[in-house]
Amino acid sequence: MSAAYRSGRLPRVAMVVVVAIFTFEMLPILVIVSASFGTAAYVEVPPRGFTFKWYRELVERGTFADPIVMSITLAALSVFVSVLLATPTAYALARFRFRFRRLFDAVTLMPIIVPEIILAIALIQLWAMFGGSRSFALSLAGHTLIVFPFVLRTTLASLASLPPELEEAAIGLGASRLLAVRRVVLPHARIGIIAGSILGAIVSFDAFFMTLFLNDRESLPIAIWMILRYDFSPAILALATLMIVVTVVLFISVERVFELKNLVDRARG
Amino acid sequence: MGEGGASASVSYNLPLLGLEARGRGYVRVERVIRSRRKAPLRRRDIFFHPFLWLLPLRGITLLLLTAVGATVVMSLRVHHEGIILYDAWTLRNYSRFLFDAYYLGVLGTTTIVGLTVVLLTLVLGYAPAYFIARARRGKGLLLALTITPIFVPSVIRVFSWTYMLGASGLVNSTLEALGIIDLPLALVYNRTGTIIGLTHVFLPFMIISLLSAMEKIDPALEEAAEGLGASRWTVLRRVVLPLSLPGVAAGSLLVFTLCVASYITPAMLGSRQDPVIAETIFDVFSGAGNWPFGTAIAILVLIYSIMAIVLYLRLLQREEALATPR
Repeated sequence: MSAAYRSGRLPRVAMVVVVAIFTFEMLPILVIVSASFGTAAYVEVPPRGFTFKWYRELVERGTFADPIVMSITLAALSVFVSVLLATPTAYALARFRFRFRRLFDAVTLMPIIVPEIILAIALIQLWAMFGGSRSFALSLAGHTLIVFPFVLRTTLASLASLPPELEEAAIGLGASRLLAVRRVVLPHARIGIIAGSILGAIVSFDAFFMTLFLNDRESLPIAIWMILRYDFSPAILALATLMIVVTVVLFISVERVFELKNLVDRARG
Repeated sequence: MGEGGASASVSYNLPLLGLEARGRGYVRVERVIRSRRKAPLRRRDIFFHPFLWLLPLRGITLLLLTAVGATVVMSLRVHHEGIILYDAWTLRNYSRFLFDAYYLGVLGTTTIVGLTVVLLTLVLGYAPAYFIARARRGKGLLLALTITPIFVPSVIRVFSWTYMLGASGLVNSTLEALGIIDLPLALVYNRTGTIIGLTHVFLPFMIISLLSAMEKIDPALEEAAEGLGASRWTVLRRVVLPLSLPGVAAGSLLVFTLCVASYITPAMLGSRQDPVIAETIFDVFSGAGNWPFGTAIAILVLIYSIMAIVLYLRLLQREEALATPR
């Protein structure tokens, strides 16, 4: 009886339900991937034939080159800026007591919970007040705003396992605070920073309004959105498959460098 | 000084003074060292003060608050025949939303969709979460299976559903082949489509929330209950369910706020005649170009979301605090 609980052996019906739910989650992704290799010019399950022609068409079209470059640039830069901003913030949140701590804590969560469309609208209002119009810089600010909490949370999580006594010891032995942070804290926080960067890159890659409202050029999700709505081509399936592969590879690498469960718990909280 | 502190369990050798310090004693010893050896240097070390470390956070807070402020200002402007009048103030943008059956209907649709999705993700997510929490092997793999869909760009996942739910799509053709239905069901471009899509997109978030609460339940409690004669069903109902309630609450709130924020899924799978709030904001804002009204709706939804954050933080406070200063 007790063994049953530990091994998670559920009644057979429950097992079937669990498998069905996982299938429900994975099915849409599998459909896209399989259809991208099918010969039909529309989505077909199961696909007839096997071809790479949609991938060839994708390359020949070339219309996605600019949006891809835009998406990658935005992701890379917003992650870079977020790491610069989030690392000292994580250290301060983990080590110092200060006034309005709760308020700051809520602010760091805000970009996760407040709808992206509202944050984007708010940013453009502020920008317009100073006479600015949609631009790359504004879009970068928006992306940084929604990437920041993810980098912050993972970095905080990795700092949680570092006893403050280690820095205190370094300081007691004559190191300055900055030296102690550089030599003791940063090496320890590295894994959290890397994991947060990869998560943040994925978040930035999926961001929609931060580009649509704030940028004067298209990023990949918007280019795909336009094509899906107005001008369908199976080349989009090939592109989607490539994006799925890239995201899954990125995601697996997060899992490798950082224990998944911690990451999720911390990103949530 | 606010920083620093001591652990109760670790002991230190401080060869300098030939003292061993335990717990709080360490602080005292350190203070002695500071005053004797390093005091002049410390006073010059500005990095001992939280101020510099907190600059980025203060900057971001300021940015967010001023941006919201600018939005409030815009929401009080007058929009007259396609032109924003910058010398007049009005509350009409708010009253137009709050006293209009159509817009309240949109908010109603959003709330109904959100609550339905919360309920569905709870029902669908509970068994897998329990299964993962009690799995002895393959936990990592199961977790990866759960979480991977979150990171597949939402445009792509939702697009897949437009095909699968269509009249000749996978779901309808399967049901027809099985002889369950004669005519295809209208599963997409209506509220049903939105709900199916959102349930799919947010189910992983619910499973993760439930899982983090269930992992804290000691299996020994379940064994004890069963050892005392409770049936498996009673154990689930009387032991597991009450103890997993924090996860149920946190997950429901998270999924609800995510539903309120969602745009891509309802825009692709839902009906234009039955929009949710994000679609309305989008249309008012970009289509009609009525910034004052669009920002007023945005502020109202923001208030809605902040209420959710406050509730969410309250719930989290009860759990282990994430980064309490030691």
